[in-house]
Amino acid sequence: MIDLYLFSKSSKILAFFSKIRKSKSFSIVIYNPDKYKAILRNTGQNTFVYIDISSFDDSNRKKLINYITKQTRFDFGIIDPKNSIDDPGLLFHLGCSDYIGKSAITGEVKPARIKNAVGFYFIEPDEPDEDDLIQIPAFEDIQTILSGHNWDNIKTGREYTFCLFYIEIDILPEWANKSGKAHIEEVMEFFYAHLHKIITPLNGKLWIKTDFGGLVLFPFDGSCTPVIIEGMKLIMNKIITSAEEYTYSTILTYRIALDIGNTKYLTRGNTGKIISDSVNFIFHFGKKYADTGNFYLTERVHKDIPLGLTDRFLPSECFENRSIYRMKLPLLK
Amino acid sequence: MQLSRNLVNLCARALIESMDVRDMKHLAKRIIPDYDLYKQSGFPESFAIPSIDAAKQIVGDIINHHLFFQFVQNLIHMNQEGFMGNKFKIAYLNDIIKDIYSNGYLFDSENQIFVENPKVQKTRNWGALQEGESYTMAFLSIDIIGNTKIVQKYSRSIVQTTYTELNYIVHNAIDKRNGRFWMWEGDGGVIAFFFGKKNEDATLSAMEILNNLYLYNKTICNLSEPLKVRIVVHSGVCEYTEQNSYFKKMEVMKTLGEMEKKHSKPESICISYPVRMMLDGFIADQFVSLGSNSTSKYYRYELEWGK
Repeated sequence: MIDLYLFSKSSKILAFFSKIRKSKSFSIVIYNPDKYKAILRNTGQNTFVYIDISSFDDSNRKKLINYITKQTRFDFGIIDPKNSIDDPGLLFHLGCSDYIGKSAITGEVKPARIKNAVGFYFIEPDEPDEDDLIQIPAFEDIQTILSGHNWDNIKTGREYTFCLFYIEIDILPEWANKSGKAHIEEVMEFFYAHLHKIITPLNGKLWIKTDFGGLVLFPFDGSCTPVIIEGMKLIMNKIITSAEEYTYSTILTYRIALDIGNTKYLTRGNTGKIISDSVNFIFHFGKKYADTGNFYLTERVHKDIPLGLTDRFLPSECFENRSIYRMKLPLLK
Repeated sequence: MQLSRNLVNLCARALIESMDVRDMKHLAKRIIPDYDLYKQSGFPESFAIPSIDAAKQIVGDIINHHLFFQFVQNLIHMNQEGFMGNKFKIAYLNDIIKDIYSNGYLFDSENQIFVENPKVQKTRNWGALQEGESYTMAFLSIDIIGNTKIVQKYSRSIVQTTYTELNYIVHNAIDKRNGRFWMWEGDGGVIAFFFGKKNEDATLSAMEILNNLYLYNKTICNLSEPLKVRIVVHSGVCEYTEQNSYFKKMEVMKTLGEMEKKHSKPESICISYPVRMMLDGFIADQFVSLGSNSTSKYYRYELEWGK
């Protein structure tokens, strides 16, 4: 599978790539072009980048071209819907693998073109070692060591930045006092089956199980927007989940806490000796702070909430000196 | 479905080892009312037809009449409930069902019919409903509000992308609940549900569409305003037809139309009384009655937010 990053906010360009978005040969992630620096500074050689330059003014376009042609970590193509580049041929001398001008943007791009662009240059893969891991201070108190958007480059025993997603069924502590162990185990089976369905498409892994839930790790590639959306869906769809994932004819809700943090990655079951402030924090945050049926996130996650959804989260009381936001809840009858 | 020689032989052996020729004839008549084994087989009426010949003839004739599934459904019914006051244990029944399963069909025990396995294929009638036969079904109707204005205001590609994405949201919600598009006309359509908890499936599909559309509008929708829809859910008896022009004239469609026009509201779901009655209590409670509680025929759910 070919990993593509597409930087564009033009619906025409997104439509142009719709065949690629549906294709099983490509994994495509779409980003806002304005954020290209933040995303690209840690992008590796397994990713091919297309960037639509139409949303930049002359000055910023030059900066972008300068930036992207100087880096050697990944191959890239330029999308120029307004034919604003005078000499596209020059781009190829500077390392560009594809140029899609105005006249080429009709209908849908053919997968063969993208494959040709990806194979245009060949970058000798380097064996990554400890020193190659890019450590850039992106947050106030942690260094980001991007783990990518899947598990391909994550090695056991090394430290990475992950989206840490804590989730628990609310009602179980109460049920545990009233019903037998077998019943609780049955509920947890339903829970893990449901959780698996939710996290698998986002490359999440249930890492540490707790009595009534668990901690999920999502690889972090600079954004946890998809995880935020999925968390919101879990809260919004509680009636649907209670009806279809469980068999108890009652509303079951989850408490969810989300943060970004660093931890050494060890396989599940071997996590007992992990020393990580981030892991400690997410457990405290989820167990001690998060209230029933709600979704909480830290300030460093808050920046990834899509603009249209920021008003769905309200500032909440600080916890362990960190700013916290909670989701507004859909009303139930 | 292509029937293998092995499956045909298995069915004949099932008849031979499970019943006598008299019961075979009764079974055949139940499926083909004017069936005459002597006429079909050519044996003189004074002659006792050997079991093996009777079984092969009956199975062959049933297949020729395209009634194979009804035949196996009758065998399953005989095995469970008996036939003409007698109990039967049908030999090889599990093997026959397994063979049919491997051909992409499942037995739906609630409706006692074979239906296509949705993992293998999806057709309008689930591979089961017969033209002209009546069935109790649930329907979800979805309609884009202000379609004309949207088409006038935005470019063709934006409209096309937006409507395709809505179609994707709807597909995503109904596919996992075995719903089938019976109509989709660009700005909306009707989806049918037939199996299992059909009323719940239609209602939960509607709720999921509403929730996902909310998130879609707030994130990737290309329109400068939210894409708004009306969703209504109703259930009733409906004659199965492949003809949409005929389907549109049916009572159930008229009720859906009336609900859409008179009782639905943007960004909400309106369900009818028969649908609500079949919902689990905690789901039904989310729908408030339109009008007084005792006489209400329709109920509404809206996505509302707390503080």
